[in-house]
Amino acid sequence: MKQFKTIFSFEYLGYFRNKVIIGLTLFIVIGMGILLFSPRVTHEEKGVDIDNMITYSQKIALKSECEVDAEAVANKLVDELGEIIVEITDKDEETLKADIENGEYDSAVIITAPLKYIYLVENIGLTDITTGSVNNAVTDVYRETAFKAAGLDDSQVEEILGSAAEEELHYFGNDNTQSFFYTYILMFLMYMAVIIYGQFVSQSVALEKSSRAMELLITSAKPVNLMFGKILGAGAMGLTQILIILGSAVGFYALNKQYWQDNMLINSIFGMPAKLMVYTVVFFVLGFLLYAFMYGALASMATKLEDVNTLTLPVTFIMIITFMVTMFSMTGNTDNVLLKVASFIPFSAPMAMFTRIAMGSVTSIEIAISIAVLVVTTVVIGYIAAGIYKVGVLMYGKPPKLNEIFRVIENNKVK
Amino acid sequence: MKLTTVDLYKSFGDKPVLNGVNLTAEGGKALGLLGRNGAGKTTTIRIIMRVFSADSGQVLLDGEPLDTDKIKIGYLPEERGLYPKKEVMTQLVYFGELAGLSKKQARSSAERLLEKLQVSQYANQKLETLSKGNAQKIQLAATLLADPDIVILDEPFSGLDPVNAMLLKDLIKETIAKGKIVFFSSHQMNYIEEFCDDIAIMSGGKIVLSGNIDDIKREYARAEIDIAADNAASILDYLKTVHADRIVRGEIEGDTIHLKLEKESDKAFIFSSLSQFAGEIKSFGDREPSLNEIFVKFTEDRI
Repeated sequence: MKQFKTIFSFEYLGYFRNKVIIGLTLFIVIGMGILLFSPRVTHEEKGVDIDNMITYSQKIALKSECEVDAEAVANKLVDELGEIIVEITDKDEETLKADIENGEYDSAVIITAPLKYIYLVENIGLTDITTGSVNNAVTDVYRETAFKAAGLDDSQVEEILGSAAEEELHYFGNDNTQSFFYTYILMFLMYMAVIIYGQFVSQSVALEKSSRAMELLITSAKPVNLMFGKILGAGAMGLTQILIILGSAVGFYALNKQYWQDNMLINSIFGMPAKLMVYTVVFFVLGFLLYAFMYGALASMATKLEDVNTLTLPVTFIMIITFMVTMFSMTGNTDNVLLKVASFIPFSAPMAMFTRIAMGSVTSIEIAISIAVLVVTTVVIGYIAAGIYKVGVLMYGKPPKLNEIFRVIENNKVK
Repeated sequence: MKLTTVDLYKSFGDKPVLNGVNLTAEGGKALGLLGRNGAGKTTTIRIIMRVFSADSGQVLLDGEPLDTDKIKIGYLPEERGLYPKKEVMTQLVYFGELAGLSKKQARSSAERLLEKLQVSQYANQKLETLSKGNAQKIQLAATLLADPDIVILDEPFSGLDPVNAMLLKDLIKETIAKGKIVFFSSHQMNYIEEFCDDIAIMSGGKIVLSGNIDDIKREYARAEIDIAADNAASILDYLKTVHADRIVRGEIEGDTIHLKLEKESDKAFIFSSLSQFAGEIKSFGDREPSLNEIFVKFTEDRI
């Protein structure tokens, strides 16, 4: 036990000296800090918020070539867009084009019929909402004119035009408009952490072997301790990193909550149920262990560092396929058969079951079965991995074939 | 202390590697373990260290099965191996802890050894920044860190310059003097002769020759003589014509004639016919074979 602890803390603390990991964590934390603190800063300095993402013409020439009242349309436009200048004109199209090119106007509107108009502009930006506003203004003017012609007075017209339907949402599953983003973030975090830390494990196993540090290690430490110490050390670091990232995100959000009142996206992400955080940890731990055992065992067969990626490729593939299946299900129906099956296969269960819990309908029995299958598989794979590792770390040369490995394990049972 | 292996057998898959290894190593003496590549030395060493178990046979210390949890073994592997990207002190402390020392003990032991090997200044540098010789010294420090009772040195001198070799020699001699059991494996026979009283030559997974070096040499010296003389070439020609049936082989090296004789009793005939050259003969005596020759003789064509 003492030996395991020594190895575990050597591996775990070793990651704190890894500049890449520390740098990456800091980068993510600082990035989140900047994002989550940004409305506080921009609020105080400029008094604008993310609404300034949209643009519209500041100076518009307006011409009516039919019975539509240009004055009324101009008033509606100013009502809608605020501080803009709408100049009523009777210049022809060519002249207006020239004026726009000269910069006299940003754009021009020529109303050709009660519900038809030409919008003249040099370049139209992606976020330009001017046409939408002109649409509203022209439509409103048309309707008002029509209602009045039918004998309604001003207040009646205003009431009809100002009325809108109100929704009252009663859902009894998950609100996937809310859950999508945080599920996506947590699942992606889990995927990245398992892949990254799984590869750390395989790199570290192969490095010990290729640097021949193993020759010495194996004489004073039990292989089982070496493997589990290494894997749990990496897993603990992964968990630490996830907790630091999630913790600082929640902390930053709590500090700036009042500035995010209007942002549905951010609020939905931080409105995630606490039990999902717990499931994140549970599925990360189990998923990581399962994959790390496979990464560790396969890497123990590599003689050179270059062989590691080839040897561990199948494992990475399983992980990627799982990720894809889960991703596609998330954007569609999370109660589909494929995802259901995947949530009981141990290799895909961490991500698939997690997604079903977060976004689909799933019973606690199903969750319990999925976790139980995962735990049993992890233990079995761990046992096999220890056997492969014990033999693998002392084998040099061409990576052995799987059946050779099993034969040697058979002859050399784990003690 | 006395370490014995009794009839060690081991095979990997269908390939037998050890075919009954019987060894004895005593405390306070170094045992030279010799053998060509693939003879089974590393496997024997690993079985002694319990990296894996033998298919059959035993490893005994003073007659009792060796308990590697109680008896510390220091190993200097032929393939040097430490962590290239970690600081020297960090990894020495780690290896010390794995060998059962406390963090504090490991640190002070490491400091002492680094001092002795004159590499203290590298304690906080990454191993990969050190020269080969210095890295080798760190490796030796890792071997001796836990003050092991059994020390196994596999090619300890490869890659060392003469000054570093001297430092290492002193440390090994000190270890032997402390009464430790020292296994010394090398292909550099001069080092074996310098440190070891006893040798065991392995070939084909067996010990083919073992015992005290001097005894062994004497045993194989009987039918060979060296004659140093001024006119070596003509003396050899004369001897070859007169004693054609007694001389198996005759060679000249500088002013020395090496003669291999049919049997030991032929020496007297050679000696008597040399009287006419009395003025030219400088010396006449038994020729001891070099360890190298003994090694080649016993390991050729046996793997």
